[in-house]
Amino acid sequence: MGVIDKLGVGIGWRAEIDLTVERLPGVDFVEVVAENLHVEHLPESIVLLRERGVPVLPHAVSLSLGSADPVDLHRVEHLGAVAEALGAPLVSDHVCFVRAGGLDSGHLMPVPRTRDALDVLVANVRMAQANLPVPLALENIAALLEWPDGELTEGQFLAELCERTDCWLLLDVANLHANARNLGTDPNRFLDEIPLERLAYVHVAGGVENDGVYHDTHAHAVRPEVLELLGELRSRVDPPGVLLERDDNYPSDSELASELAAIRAVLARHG
Amino acid sequence: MTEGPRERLAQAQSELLAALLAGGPPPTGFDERLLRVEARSLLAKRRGIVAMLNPEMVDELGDRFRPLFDEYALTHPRTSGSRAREDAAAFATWAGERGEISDMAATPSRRLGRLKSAVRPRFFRRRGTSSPGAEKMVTDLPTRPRGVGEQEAT
Repeated sequence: MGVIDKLGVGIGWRAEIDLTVERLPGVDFVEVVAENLHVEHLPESIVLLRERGVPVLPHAVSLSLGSADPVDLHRVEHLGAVAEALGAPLVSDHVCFVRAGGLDSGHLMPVPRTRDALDVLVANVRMAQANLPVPLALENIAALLEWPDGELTEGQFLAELCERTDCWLLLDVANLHANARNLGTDPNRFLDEIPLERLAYVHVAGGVENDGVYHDTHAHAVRPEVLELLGELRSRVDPPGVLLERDDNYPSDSELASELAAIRAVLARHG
Repeated sequence: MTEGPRERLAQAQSELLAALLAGGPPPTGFDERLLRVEARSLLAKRRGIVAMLNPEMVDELGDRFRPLFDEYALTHPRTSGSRAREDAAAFATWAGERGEISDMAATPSRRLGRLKSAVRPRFFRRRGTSSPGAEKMVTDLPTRPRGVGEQEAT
């Protein structure tokens, strides 16, 4: 496999649930939002987890690598510095753009699945990779809208991105469910098309459906359809890691523990 | 004039964000219903972050917060490189200039927040509460969502 041998099952570390994350049984690894960390002032909870030998993987949300704007190397350098401070084996961000025309969307926006957009993304990813001390994994996002005139499926787009940049994939099965529900993406075809051997790890998260639109909130329980997709993935490949993301409306420790247990159960059942 | 992929993409992405964030015309070929869904979602997330950063102001505005913020947001889209805290402060100033809030609420809460974090030990840290559209935040480098900055306040 190379970069990532085995991560296990993990949870997104957030300051609001730091004690929970420290206490939860069976947390094999955690992820931190890189923009929220200052290398000089790592939270004591993160330091504790590192002392225990728990891998802490930096996850970025602001590189905007799908943007037509030039890559902001200041952000890339910060991500790399966080990775070095944490001794992380890899870092990640998303296949998306955040900034364009002087505006900031405040959220991850889909890129057009065109040759033009892929060329720009590939160039940006290479620029980021050249300035990072560890490998880069890129995540599929949940989109609420679709660009017109797409030339590639999402799976084809990601496959070509991996082939041309040697990046790794961070596969979010909740985002895949969101795009299947909202945009009609075929999840099986998606899983057929992506290079599973480039899988770094997997995200699982909760969401809610309002007026026929699935919202990837990270503030609700993980839905059965998302666990089914995890099972479908597991029947094809043994992912190095699977990580639960919860960002708001935090439930009790026991509820988080049971969501982790449900993930383990799916992996075992389909293994 | 010859245009490369980057220039074409820049144009398309700019038009999309202008439509979603600043009331620009819908770009050709998009589903207009989905554009509205996306615009509402982005606005809700931005509103939620500002509400988290200045709860005193939100309390004072009550039911007026949402319509006022939405009016502000449309005419003040976030610019590249801006920070969530700057957005919250700019909205407070805007609302203050219109006489919607008192001076106390218009000059948030940094002092108050620091005071709180200084006296609240780690074990009693407040759990997160629900807020609309609060998916994983896109913050800018020195910006930290609620909780994080409190913990490591310098």
